[in-house]
Amino acid sequence: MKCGSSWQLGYLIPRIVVLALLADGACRLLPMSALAFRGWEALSAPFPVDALFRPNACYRNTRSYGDLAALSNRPWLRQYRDEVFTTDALGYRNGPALCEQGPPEGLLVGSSFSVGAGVPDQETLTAQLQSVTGKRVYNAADVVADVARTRRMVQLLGMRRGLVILECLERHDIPSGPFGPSSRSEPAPRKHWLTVFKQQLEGSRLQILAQRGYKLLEDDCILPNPYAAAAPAKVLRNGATMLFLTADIDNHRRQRPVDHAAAYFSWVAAELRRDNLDLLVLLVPDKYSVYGPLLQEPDVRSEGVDPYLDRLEAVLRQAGIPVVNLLPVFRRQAGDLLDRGEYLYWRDDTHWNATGIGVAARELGRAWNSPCSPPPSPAPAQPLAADSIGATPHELPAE
Amino acid sequence: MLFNSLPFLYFFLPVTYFVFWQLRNKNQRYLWLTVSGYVFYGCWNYKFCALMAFSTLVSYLAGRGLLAWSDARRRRLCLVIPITVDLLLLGAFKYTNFLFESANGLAQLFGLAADLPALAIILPVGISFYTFHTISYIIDSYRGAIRPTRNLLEFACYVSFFAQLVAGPIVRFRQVEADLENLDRAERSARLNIGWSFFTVGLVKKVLLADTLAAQINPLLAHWESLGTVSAWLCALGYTYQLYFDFSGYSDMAVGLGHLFGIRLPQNFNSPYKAADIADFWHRWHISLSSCLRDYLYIPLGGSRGVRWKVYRNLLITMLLGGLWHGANWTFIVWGLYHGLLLAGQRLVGASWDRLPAWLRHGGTFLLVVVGWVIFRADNLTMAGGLLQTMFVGTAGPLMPWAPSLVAMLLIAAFVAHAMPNSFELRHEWRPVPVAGLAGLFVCCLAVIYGSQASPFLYFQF
Repeated sequence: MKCGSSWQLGYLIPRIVVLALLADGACRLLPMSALAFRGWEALSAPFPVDALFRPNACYRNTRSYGDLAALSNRPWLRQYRDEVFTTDALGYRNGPALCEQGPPEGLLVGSSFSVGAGVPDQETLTAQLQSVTGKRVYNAADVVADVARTRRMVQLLGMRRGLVILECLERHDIPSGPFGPSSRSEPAPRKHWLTVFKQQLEGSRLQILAQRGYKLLEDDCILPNPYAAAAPAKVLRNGATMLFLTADIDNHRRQRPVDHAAAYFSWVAAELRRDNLDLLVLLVPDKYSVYGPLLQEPDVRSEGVDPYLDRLEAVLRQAGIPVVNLLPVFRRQAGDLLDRGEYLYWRDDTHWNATGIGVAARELGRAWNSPCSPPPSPAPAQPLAADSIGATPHELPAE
Repeated sequence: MLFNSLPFLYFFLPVTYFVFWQLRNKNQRYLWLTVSGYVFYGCWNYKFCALMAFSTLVSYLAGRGLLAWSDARRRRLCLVIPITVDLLLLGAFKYTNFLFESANGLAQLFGLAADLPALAIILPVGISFYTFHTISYIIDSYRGAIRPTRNLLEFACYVSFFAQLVAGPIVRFRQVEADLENLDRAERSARLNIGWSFFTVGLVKKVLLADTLAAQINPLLAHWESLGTVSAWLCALGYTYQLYFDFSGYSDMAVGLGHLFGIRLPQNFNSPYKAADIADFWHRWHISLSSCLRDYLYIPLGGSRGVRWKVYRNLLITMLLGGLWHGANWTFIVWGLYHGLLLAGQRLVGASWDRLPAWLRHGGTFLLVVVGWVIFRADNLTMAGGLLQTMFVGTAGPLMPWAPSLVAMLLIAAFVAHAMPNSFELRHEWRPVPVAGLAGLFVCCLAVIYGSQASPFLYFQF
């Protein structure tokens, strides 16, 4: 049997491998936005230095959906929404005109919650905060707040005074010491070239497409869905289904330490004071902390565990750190809105929606006016209009 | 790095293959295959390359000693030292924690205080295989079955050839000696088709059959306590076929890769689920291991010679150690003992068994093997006992939503395993239509490799 014959495996298989490799390479020319279902992945910079996102970019998707629906491979639980995600010249999520009138009065640093994952540009925390307070706040949120980067941003924006709002998501642990002096003049650390090379090697568009196709088979009918455990679906008291991150549920059930938090935030405040800036800490609860008590079947494993954010708030107040804890007001609002089928978080996402951001913006606005004293008791929850921002355009079918 | 992974298909194999066939000199080819073998092994954990190199060097030097010395005492040293080194390596890395845990458990049973610590020992991938390669080399050299090689590169190439390095087959030096000796005269085109044919068949067995079955049964076995009888049987059958296609698929791929480099590796599976009795099963399953156990353990113990109780003893010891070789867990020991008892039992009632109708002998053998695999697969003896009880004592339990899909896969798997010829019975000279079919299946495998999560071979930690 001649191996030169084209109808032999010795001829065909190596060529199939080469073709597949070429196809993989060709697909890498596809922009990530063609494959992404939301702005976060679509606009993430390939070689991020300071900012996570590509500068001067805009992403629009009328059928964006939540990270938990994607993570758990449950397409029938998606809440489709219109997402517009715009970045400025520095690669952060701000409108182009924000700094035209001079340095902003405030700087927001924090996680994807502050970035505004899942909501359009006009509904992010900084946009709503500006509506509430009339003050311009620059959205320098990334993945996790970094003091050195924050100070670099302050210098870059020309801020000589103002407020830094440090958003702390419940899921993220507070760093423990020791803490040395930060330097804003040091350049941002760059990733090792090997790490970047490995990331590029692993960033196969063909693999993303293949995984999407394979996930169609992993529907618990043909093949089991191995992703479901990452984001269990639970039923709320009103019969609606909501997805939660397993890590958040586990966190909620354990007593996490908070004693070291005062040292960290005191250090942050002292560092910011070097640049004549004030600090205001915003404690953002995980979705499970808010909606766990509203489940049809109560979570017995979290009974007896004091809420982490409440303990954290107490420690910070004792240390004299201005703080806004959203957990109590979120729990109240969530309970009040539940019967109307309205929520503070997307049901298919870890993140808050425009309604939740609106509540946070109002609380922040109150605290901004008196950052050194506890915020006044919130007014009783006002019923929201049915067509208010955050109303879900598509209702999830009850399971 | 796995055979069914993109880095292997896209980079490692093409580079290794291309450079190999550019080299003309035998030693150059030995060196290149050795280097590529260490690179392949290093992708798992580069620190353990030194271990393999040490084992290789000790056995090579012992072989040179056997060549140089005729003195019986020195020759015995050349036999004992490398075997001791290899067994110590194997024992230290594989069985230390198991011994400590078992000792702690035994002490607690007798009300004694014992707290031997669990050590942070990482099991080097494939240590059970390459130590057996070197042990078989030394024993065969000592017995005069082979002439030890003077060429360190040739020996290093034999031990570290990437195709069989981490999961077999266990290749004896005499099985590849001729091919290694003629490596510079190997023709690239001679076995290109057969090599890729074996590789494709193996890849299809591994990716499309074994991994699919694994995906369907593993979530159930993770919650075995809640299984009903039907689900337990589906899982047992699923694992039976998964293990066969996973391991035989890997062996086929190894054989195919060997052909691509001019080295013929031995057959490791010969349709084991077509066996008519347990002895026949062990002539067909993991042939390279069972023949090693026979030649280096069973026969030196006395084999089938001598009084009956000694034969049974030899069978039990051989199978017990064979079970232990698979892993440091009581389930493997019990599985080995189980097969030892079956083999002993066959000697006892073999004549009556042979008079049974063929379908009953084949079905009965298969059933006995399935029961053994339940023990083999279980995480511990509690799980093994629980699963077997569920299987044989009617227990109600929910059926998984993908049960119809699993049944369909089992039917396909059963047809391939019981009715179709195995890869060594195929001629591997395909007509255009089967070629197109196999090429299409290869493309499907690529799609699944791209789309699914990583799936290591079951035997990789052995």
